[in-house]
Amino acid sequence: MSAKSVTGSKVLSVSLLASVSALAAPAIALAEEEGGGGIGLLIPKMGEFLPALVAFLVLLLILGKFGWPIIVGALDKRAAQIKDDLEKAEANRIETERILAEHKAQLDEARVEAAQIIADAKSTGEAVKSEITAKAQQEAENMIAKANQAIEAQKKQAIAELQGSVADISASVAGRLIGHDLTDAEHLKLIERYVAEAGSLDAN
Amino acid sequence: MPTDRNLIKKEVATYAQALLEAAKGSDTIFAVEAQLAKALDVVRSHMKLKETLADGTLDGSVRSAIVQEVFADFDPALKAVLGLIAERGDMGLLSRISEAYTLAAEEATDTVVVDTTTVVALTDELREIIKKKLSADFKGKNIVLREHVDPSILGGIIMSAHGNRVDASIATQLENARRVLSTVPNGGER
Repeated sequence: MSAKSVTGSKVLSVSLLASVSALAAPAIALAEEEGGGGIGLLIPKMGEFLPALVAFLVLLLILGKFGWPIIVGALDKRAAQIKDDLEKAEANRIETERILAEHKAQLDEARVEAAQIIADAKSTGEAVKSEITAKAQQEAENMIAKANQAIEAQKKQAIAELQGSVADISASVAGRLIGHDLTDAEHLKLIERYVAEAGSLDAN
Repeated sequence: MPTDRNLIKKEVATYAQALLEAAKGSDTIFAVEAQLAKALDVVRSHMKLKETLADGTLDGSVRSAIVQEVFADFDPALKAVLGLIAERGDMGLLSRISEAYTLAAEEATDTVVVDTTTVVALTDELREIIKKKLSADFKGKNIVLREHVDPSILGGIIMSAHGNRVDASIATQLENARRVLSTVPNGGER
């Protein structure tokens, strides 16, 4: 505690004592006069009033000289401090609001960015999905087409082989039948018919 | 044997002409032609004989003697010329000599020699029919048939002359049918 405040508190104590003494004197006087009754009870007696007034004035003088400036100084100091604190608080509030606004803006920006990223990811995902699906579908179609072609080729080959075999067997059987079954006379008749049907041997 | 083409041609023509002159004298032009073709077949089909006749280490007279022995029953004029060809080491020219002789004989007699191949031997009647048809083909020329029997053709007839060929054999027709059956597109189904 500072020396000024110690002095202040002493002065305050003296003033309080004086005030109490001054105020106590009329109270004692009033108690002694209680026996009179009526309006006289409310009107102070001069013999009591003057000392009280003097005491009051002395007290007021002391207070005005020593106590009041200290009180006012303390109050001013306190007010200045409070004002300073309020200004600081206001500055802090403004700063906080600014930071909050900044953070809010950053948050909003981050939210927008996140939303954009999610949208982009969704879009990319959809595109990739579509591409993969299309590719898979194309591959499946190609595989089916190739399989169909292979089946068709094998089928044609099998039919051609079968056809060839049938043709070979038919020609062979026909040849054997003709070779064994035709008589000489029939052969001669056949030769005669073929000679009649044959084209010219002279190419010139 | 000479290697110059003109010399070979001349030599072949000389052999053919000599043979033709000899055959004309005995009126065996086409008999000789047929025997010459047969001699060519024999030489071609017997590898050992062919190699022996082409063997330059053997004396010419030995080769001539071999030929005379192998073709003993042939026309004497042909036998003599074949002996000469063998002695001179010209058996490799026999095919050309045969062709040149045939052409020379055909020209000399206004005749065309036609090879025929059948499964059975031709009858006189059928020969006349064939000759008539061929004579019409060759503008009235005489036709001499050189007949071959070959069962592998199954039936019908093959005729060839001057490098042209009419194949009316059953074997060929069956082969054609087989080819058509093998290659015809498969219809009725997609």
